[in-house]
Amino acid sequence: MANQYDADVIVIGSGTVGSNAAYELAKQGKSVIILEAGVRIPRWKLIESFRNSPRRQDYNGPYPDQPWAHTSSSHEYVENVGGFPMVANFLKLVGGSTWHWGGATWRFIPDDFKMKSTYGVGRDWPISYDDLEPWYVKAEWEIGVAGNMNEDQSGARPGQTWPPRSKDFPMPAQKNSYMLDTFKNAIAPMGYDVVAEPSAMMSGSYRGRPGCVGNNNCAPVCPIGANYSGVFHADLAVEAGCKLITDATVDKIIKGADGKIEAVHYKSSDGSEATLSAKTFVLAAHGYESPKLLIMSDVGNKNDMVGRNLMPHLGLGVDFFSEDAVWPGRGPIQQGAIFTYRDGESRSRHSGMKHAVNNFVPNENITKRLLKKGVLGSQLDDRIRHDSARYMSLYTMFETLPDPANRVQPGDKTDALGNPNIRLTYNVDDYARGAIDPCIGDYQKFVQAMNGETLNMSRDLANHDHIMGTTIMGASAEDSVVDKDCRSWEHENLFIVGTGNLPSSSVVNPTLTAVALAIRAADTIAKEV
Amino acid sequence: MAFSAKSGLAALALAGLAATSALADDSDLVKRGEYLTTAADCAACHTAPTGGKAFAGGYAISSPMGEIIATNITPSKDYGIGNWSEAQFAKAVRQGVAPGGVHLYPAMPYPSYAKLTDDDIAAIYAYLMKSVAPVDEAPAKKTQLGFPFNIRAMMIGWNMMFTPGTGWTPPKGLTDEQERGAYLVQALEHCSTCHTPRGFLMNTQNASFLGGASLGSWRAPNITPDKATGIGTWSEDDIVSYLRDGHATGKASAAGPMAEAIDHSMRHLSEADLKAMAAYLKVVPAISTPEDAPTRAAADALTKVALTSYETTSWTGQPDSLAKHDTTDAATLYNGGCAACHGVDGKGAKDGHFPDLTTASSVTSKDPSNLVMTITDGISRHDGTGYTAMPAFRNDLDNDQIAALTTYVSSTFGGSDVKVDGAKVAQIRAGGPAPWLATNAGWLTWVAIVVAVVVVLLIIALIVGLTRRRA
Repeated sequence: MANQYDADVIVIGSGTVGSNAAYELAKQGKSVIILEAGVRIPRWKLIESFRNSPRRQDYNGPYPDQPWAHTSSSHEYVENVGGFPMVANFLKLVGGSTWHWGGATWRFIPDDFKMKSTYGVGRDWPISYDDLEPWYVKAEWEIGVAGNMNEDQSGARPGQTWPPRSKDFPMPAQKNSYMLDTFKNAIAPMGYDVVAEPSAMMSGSYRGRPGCVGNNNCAPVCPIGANYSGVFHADLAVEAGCKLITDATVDKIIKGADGKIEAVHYKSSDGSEATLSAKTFVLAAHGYESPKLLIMSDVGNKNDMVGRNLMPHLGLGVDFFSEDAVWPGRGPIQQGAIFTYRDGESRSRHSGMKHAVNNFVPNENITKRLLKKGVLGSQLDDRIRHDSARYMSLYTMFETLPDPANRVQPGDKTDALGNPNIRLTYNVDDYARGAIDPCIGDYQKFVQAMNGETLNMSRDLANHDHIMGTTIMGASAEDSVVDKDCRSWEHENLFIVGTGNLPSSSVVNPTLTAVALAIRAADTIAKEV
Repeated sequence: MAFSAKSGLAALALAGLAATSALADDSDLVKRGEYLTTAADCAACHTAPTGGKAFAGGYAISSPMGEIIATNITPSKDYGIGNWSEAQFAKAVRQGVAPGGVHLYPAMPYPSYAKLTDDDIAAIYAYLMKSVAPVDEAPAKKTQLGFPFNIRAMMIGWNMMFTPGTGWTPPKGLTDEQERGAYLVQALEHCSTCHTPRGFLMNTQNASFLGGASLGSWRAPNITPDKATGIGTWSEDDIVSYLRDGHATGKASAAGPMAEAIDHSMRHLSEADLKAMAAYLKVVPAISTPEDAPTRAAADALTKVALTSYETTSWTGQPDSLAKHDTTDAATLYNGGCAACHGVDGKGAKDGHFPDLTTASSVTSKDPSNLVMTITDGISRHDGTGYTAMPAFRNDLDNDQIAALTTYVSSTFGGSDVKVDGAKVAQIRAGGPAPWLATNAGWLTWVAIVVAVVVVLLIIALIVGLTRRRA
């Protein structure tokens, strides 16, 4: 029987989640094929493209947007029909969208796993924080996360390590920049605490990757690979024996007679196509593409739950000139966070939130601003120096609740391979809007603490590039797509992994949680095949 | 052989104790043995690098003759050295002959360990027998060399020619510190195993002691005090820093097998021992080796890089051009892949965090092996400062690109006229050119057999002839 399969396991998607699952399976001796829609591009090429690009601030700029492997740069490919524009930046290449991320690798906290029972909103997970904790440890040590062991990340338990941890980070957090320390000291008397952001922008060298030296270019591409990207695990997976097939867009997951998945079919840009069989399948194609493929294939969607409950992180931002120079831009592009409303009773009324301090080199934007104001000549030089040294910005992420009406579906346009585009429907609810006032209240205090001059403090919600809920995990097949092990309720040999699994959005970046779930799912699969 | 029966009996008694109590022994002898075992870097081969049990063997040492599998040297009675007496242990370590007359291959550096003192052998034996947990299993693989190297008895003749007498005879005219250094360099750390060139019978050529040698993919450079081709311009502090931290600013950065030796052994040595090694390395006879000669004059002239020399590609934003990465334009590869750390001018970081390529030994060497291998495999080194990494480029560059980059970096920053093509890179990555003995041993052996047969036939003919004549 065994030799009738092309592999023990086929993993669809070579991003951080798929590659970590594939690597875990290969380490446990399984034969694995990874299918990737995009191609592999070496870092040096991306750096060359970035340097030569006239669009330096376009995070998708150095990455190909192919008619047969679209990224979020194609506005027609990602189509919004709801009341809120829901584009999340994504790429298609080996390693996936973590090529251009901020490296934030937070854990969820225990209450994030039981929103319904604690706060009466949203859903409970079918697993607890304690169930996932050992897998968080594995994920942190696989990726190489820098963080501080003893900090309260809930904002509600001063002096405690929260969430609880069974093992320290592989390395300590990077030292705070001068700006962050200055800001931290200024807001401390107002009762705010800044905690270190656990980060895949490493404070020291780890697993063949050099530590961060502050190029401040985490996106669109880290020039030295100090910022983790899924390509590290894609390469580790290949070196561990996985077969990686690129330019292979899966357009159909094929059901067998017995309710199991039998094979997948893919197309390449040159017109060729193939069908591959395996004992088990792992769908790790992205929070939009995975549900789209399931719906296209009529797989795992008996209860019409696939693609629903789309949850983004919504957010606000503020920027201002601090009275004194703070020199932004030293070190990684983001470092610290403030959790005034992450956990606690307010969460039953409005979104929890995370404030974070941006640490971009602001010269380009400052220069544009000054030119618009007509500042020229030597005065321009002086003002660029003066203003850039004092520029500060913060952004805030609001959690959102799962609502089946918010969804991703296949659209009615097609790409070069004949596959449908992505159609998004999203509307903002009052739970999220309720967080606007408290957020603005915090911003006013932050500006005040720095004796600042406000530049922008908008009440318009924007979306951050996080996608949750679209292949939601739950306790019942009636209202979810996968069970507690990330297994499709309908097809016992189909595992769907990614940030789409998350039944709550929390206020923190979802990647680490998705990687922890994926390694856990791979471990389950390895015991079965 | 200089061996004290008394210490042997004592060690046997200790071994008996170890059998009844597997607890670690803290006696001074065992502690000293642990330090010496680290200094001799036994674990480098006898502990498998990927999570192997301590001293249980299994590591495949690649040699030009084939893979030699390190053995189990835990005190296991069935699979290790549990039944060996100290005398038997000493004979194996210093003379390459295990109990039962089994001849070891010189992948085990017994020609260096031959110089270990009786006291140090006793301490190492005590440590292995008393402090190491017995592992009752054999390594998964066995050494199986091809003909004629599978005839272990061939080593008898080799040993007669190339293995020194046992025990330590200090070289004349050294200070106490230099003498300690000589012992560390020659015996324990067995530097000669890699850094002294080998003759056509794979013997170390002692006239070129520490004069540098090729080790398959990597070159172990000349570490004699020759100013032009060795480490004559290094201060003792430079040498200590290199041995402990893997890095001597403005000189060299350890990669490959040397990085492993620093990780497993040298970073654990006492400061006094590292200083002693440095002191001795400053006084060994200087040897000039053309392979390690940098073309400094040319390098000094190369401080300026014309901006036009690398701005050769245009960004179009078209997906196909963003994905295309097959260029062998080395300036493009250097600026995309290397310049973020080593700088457009190759000078690295001022504090040495990123090495200066214009002085790095791998770049200035006439032998491109170490540069090719460092680009290919990067650096992943645990040293006295923690963990040091340079990314490996094996997944990001093909052999032609590595060749172009090596040639570019050598000429632009090292002032070297090294020219490397893709085939040469492939050969270096595959372990370098095979030594003469490995490629010729087959026919040499058959010639020897034919000659022997002819001689025997002649003798028979002679005897027959003589007999007939008598008859």
